Amino acid sequence: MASSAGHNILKFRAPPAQPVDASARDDDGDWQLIERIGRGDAPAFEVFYKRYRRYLERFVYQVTRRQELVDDVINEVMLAVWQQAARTERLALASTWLLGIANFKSLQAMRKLGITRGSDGSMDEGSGDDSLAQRELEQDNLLNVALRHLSPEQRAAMELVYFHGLHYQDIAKVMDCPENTVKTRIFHARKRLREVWPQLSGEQAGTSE
Amino acid sequence: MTKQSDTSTMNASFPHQEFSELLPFYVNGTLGDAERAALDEHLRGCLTCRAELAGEQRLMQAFRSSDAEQQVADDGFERVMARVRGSAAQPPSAWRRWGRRSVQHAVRRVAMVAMLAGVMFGIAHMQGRVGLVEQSFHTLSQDRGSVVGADVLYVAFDAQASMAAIKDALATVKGDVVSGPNRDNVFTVRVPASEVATAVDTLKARSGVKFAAPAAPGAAP
Ligand SMILES: [Zn+2]
Repeated sequence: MASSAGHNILKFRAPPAQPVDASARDDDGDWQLIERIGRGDAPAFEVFYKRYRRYLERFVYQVTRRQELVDDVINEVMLAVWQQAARTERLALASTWLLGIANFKSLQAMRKLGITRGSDGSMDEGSGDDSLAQRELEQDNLLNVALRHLSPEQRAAMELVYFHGLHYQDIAKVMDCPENTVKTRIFHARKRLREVWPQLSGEQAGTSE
Repeated sequence: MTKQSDTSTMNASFPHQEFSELLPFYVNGTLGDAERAALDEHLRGCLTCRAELAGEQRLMQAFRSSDAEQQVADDGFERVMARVRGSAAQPPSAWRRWGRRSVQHAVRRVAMVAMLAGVMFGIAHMQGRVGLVEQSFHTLSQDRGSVVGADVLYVAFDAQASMAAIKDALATVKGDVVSGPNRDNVFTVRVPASEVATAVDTLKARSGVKFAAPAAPGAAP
């Protein structure tokens, strides 16, 4: 028993969930679980919670970039799962449905904090202090630094396209916005990332360290 | 760095930017056949898009290899269930006291369970994480002594113990649930500071209680 509690703790060192191609993903009983949750089945809810907790941890952190929000946002997301399970239509993959809730709750948490921009004040088409970014780049992981310069919406879109491997139609569902908004949001985020991370412009291979 | 201007899109009926906007979906493999074929055609004639494509591949690689996992408390499911049942509907409840004040608190909740399990924290392994998190772990390593107050107990119940029995047992020692139960049915409980020893004895004597002990380091079971 004590050792299994230890196992829980150590699990955060496990490799991140493998990104999956949404079209190839097997729903693996998720909707059956959600149906049971809708009928107030707590054990089903626990299975669902455990299945998706790590998945949510990463997504919520990637959008908010604030460790201190992750617990509370996941709590909100799962409460919403419990409340919405009975009246949710099975329109998409369960994981896509869940990402939609997680996206909404993450952005809501950021808005409550008054944060709608990247750390340098950039919004969808912002430009910021690149020398600051350059200094940060020397000290930290390139991607982490670069992501700080995006708005929470942009980070969500980037995570959905590159990590979750979703089609723009699915991202539009998750983000509850038109497909064209998805495309332009990602376009501007890439543009912004290229400014703070010039190797991404593709002119040279760049340092892969 | 601004990009060289694109001079190679004359043969496309579709403007360059629209192709460029499709590149992320080309790289993540979700484009439909028609869009993919059109983009392939465009890529043959567009240096800019070809260069961006290489950058897109690096970007996707970076996302997929980035370790963005978070260390969140193990009591997450129980916290949600508490809200589902409405038993945490009296804010600011004990959850809140421990729940959201700072990064340190979030980390400390993990640390408490870790200490309970006798797990050594691999602080060295934490290096290289986001600065904020790293910082918290350094803080943690420096003041483990203050992580939990002397009035906090760990109480483990038999897996079969009902919620009512647990509440009843805790009521006899005026215990407030701070967090839990974790997967091993261990609760973190705050009792009146002057009655810690009595509370431990009372709980230990009850059937259904597997163990009860002060949570503070040095006083562990
Ligand atoms: Zn082009």
